[in-house]
This record gives sequence, structure tokens and C-alpha cells, in this order.
Amino acid sequence: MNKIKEKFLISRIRKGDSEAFGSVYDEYIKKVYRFIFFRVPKEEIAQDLSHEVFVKLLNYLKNNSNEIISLMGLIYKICRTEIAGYYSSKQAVNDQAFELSEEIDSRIDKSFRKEDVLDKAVDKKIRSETIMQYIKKINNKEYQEIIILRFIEDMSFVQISEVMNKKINTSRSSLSRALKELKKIIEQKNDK
Amino acid sequence: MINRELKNLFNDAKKECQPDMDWANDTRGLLLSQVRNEMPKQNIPFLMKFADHLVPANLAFKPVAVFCLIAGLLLVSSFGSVGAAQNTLPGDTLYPVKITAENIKYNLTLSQEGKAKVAMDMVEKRASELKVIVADQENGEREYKIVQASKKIKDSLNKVKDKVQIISEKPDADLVGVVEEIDKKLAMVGEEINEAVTMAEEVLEEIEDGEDLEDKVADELAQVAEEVEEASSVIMAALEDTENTKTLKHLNTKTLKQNSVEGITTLTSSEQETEEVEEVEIQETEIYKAPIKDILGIEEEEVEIEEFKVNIGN
Repeated sequence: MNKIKEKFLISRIRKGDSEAFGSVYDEYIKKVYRFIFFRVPKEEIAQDLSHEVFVKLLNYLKNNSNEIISLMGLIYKICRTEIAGYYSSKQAVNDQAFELSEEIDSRIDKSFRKEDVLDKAVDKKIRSETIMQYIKKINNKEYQEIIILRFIEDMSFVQISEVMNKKINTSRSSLSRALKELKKIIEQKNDK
Repeated sequence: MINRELKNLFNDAKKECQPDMDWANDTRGLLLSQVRNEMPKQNIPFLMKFADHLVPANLAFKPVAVFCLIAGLLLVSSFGSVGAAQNTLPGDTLYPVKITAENIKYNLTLSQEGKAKVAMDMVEKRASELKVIVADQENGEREYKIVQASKKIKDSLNKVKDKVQIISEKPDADLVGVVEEIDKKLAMVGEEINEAVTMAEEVLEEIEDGEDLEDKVADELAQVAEEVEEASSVIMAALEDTENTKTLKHLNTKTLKQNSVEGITTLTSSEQETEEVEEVEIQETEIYKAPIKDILGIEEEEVEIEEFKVNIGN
């Protein structure tokens, strides 16, 4: 969504136009959901937090008349705040975040056994769950975010620097380090 | 940077990781009803609703749509819609329309001197807006608007400085008038901003429990004043350059007349490339005083040129 369109939509939302808010929701719901999903252990948690993100966005637009330079930057900032809030709450402890269950472990093992003949759709699902779990295993939250933004959301470095409020070169270096970390995790799993 | 296998995994993950559509639709409904309940719907100008459909998703790849958008905005402005936005201030609904129209005018101006004039007009308007905002004591968001208006002034001043610097590099003495006009306007803007800063001191005193905001307002206003001074310096430097250019042109013209030789005329300015010509005789008896120091960097002197032989070569 380009900046001019964003400005018009923000102005309309502040005037109480629900259609405009619907347009923003349609544009960002999948991105928000994916961004959160890769950072939390369960789908239900991702849904709850995604809902909260849009509620917080609406409240921000309602109560602030500041010029918003980047709506995308604002939305991702709210996402990060919600994720941080979730992990600082007791709920995260109960959900045992980032611990792989035995069931998922065995499914990951299967995906690496070439002799197993698995249905393609199931195989695809397992492989995608595999990479999701590997991303969740990365300790550094910033690395997780930058991998998601670059390889899942296909963002350019300009967009990533806008979302993460970093310089472009810093984002590139962070991505390089994040990929090394991810590859290390994959290799460790392969060695087992 | 990443191998194909990993890339495929990411692509698969992206396709698999989609929100449940029933949940997404239910959430959408809940949020929109929240908007309707909590935010009373105000009158939204038709232009604003329509503009959302006019602006394509990705301007960079739709040049035809961009052209149509620009043409459409110009057409709209001729019917006074942009005129309706002329008196808006930062934070008002139609203010972005006003700024967009000014930016379009700036971008469509072809010559650098034209752009400099348009940018200076923008600075004048922003300075007037700042004064109005500072004077409006009933506006609860005055401090935020002061910060926004200050940023806009700085942006426009940067444009003026850039264009004036470009103009000063052109060897065209006619641009002196343009730069002088900008200089006069900048002086008036400087006075307006000083008045606004004085009035803003009252605003700063009223800010309670908001040290950060107070600092921010003070910083922004101080930066605006600095930017005005810097722009003024750039203009002064440009005026000196263009004056020198005017003098250089004058010198070249006179030298051409003095050095006309049968069939050959040549420029004797040190900045011009000389051509290989025959040895010529030049007879001069006028006392010629030139601002040599400014042009060639040597001491100013009176020179009486008498008959002499000049070999103008490589």
C-alpha cells in the first residue's frame, strides 16, 4: 500500500469511516497473522494477538492525531508489543513456548527420511511446520523477525528497515547473522 | 544467499501459514462494528472517498495511472476542490490534499529557478501556518501541530537551498534576479518565524508535565530558525557567485570587442579554452579596471594596455 493511499485511509478512519478500516484490515490481516504465528506456539494465540493488534491500531488512530509516517511500521510495532506482552504474562509459561512436543519431533524426523513415501500435501505441511519450528527455535527475537519479514513476507530491505526502525545496512547484517543461526539449528537437527 | 531447499521451505511455510478465513471474517465484522459504535461518523468529502480508488496499489509500476492521477488532481484543482483546502492547517482533513497539490506543482515545474520559486512559496505558506497555529490558543493539540508545521518548513527550506545551489552553478547572470527575489522573501519569512517563536514561548510555559514535549517544541522551533539562517547564507553565497558571473560576462563582452581581429575573434577569459590562432597585434590605450581579484584570484590593479604583440596559443 503506497503512502498516499495510506494517508487517505488514515484520515477517513479518523473520521469514523469503517470501510476505510476494513481496507486496512484486509491489507494487513494475513501479514499480521503470519508475523505473530511464527513467534507464538499456538494458532489460537496468534488469532487472539492478531485481533488485539487491530484493536490497538484503532484506538491509536482514534486517540492520536499525530501524522503517521508509516502505517506498516506502526502495525508491526504494535505486533511486536503484543508478542512481548504475551511472553511477559503468565500465559506464556503455561503454554510452554518453544518446546517441541514428541509428536512434532517425530513428524520432523519423517520429513527427512527419503525412503518414506508420504502424500505430497502432508509432506508439504510437515515441511512448512518444520521451518516454522526452526524459526521459533532461534533465540534472538530480532533474528526471528527479520527472517520472517524477508523470506515469508518477501519484504525489501528498505521496507524491513522501515518496520524495524534500523538502517538498511544494519538490516542486511542482521539477516546474514540470522541465517547463520538458522542454518546452525538445521545442521544440529540433521546431526541428531 | 540461501539455498533453493531453504527457499522452498519458506515458500511452503508462507502458503501453509494462512489465517482461518471464518475467524478472519468474524474478526473483521467485530472490528468494523467497534468502529461504528465508538467513532461517530463525520462528513467525509467525496474527493477523499474517491481518491482511495484513484490511487493504485503500486504507483511505481503504473505510470499511466500515475499520469491519470496527476491529471485528475490538476483537473480537480481547477474546480476549486484544492482551493477548499487552501486554508487548512496541519492536522486538518484536507491538509494532505493541499500539500499534495503543492508538491505536484513543484514536480511539474521544469526549470530549476522555477522550482526554487515554488519551494520558496511553500516556505512562506508554512511559515504563515505556523504563526496561525501558535496564535490559536484554543487548540488543545497546538504543541503537536507546531512540531508538524516546523518539520514542513524545514523540508521546504531544504528544497530552496538545493535549488539555489544548483542555480548558482549555472553561468547565467539572468538568475541574479531570481535569487534576489528569493532572498527578499526569505527575509520576510525569517521575521514571521521570529514572531512565531516569540508567541510560542507562551505555549511552552503552558505545557504542564510534559518536559519532553516542551523540549521537542523548543528544539523544532530552534532548528527552523537555524535552517532559515543557513538558507540565507546559501543565498548570499549564490548571489556572490551570480554577481561574479555577471561581471565575467561583462568582461568577456568587452574583451571580445577589444580583441576583434580580422576574421578571428577569441575570448581571453581565463575560464574559456583558447584556440590556436595566428600571432595578432592588439592596440589598446584605454585604462581598463577589472575585478581581477574576484575572478582570477590575483591582486586588483589598474592596467594601461599599450600597443603590444600578443601570441595567443595553447
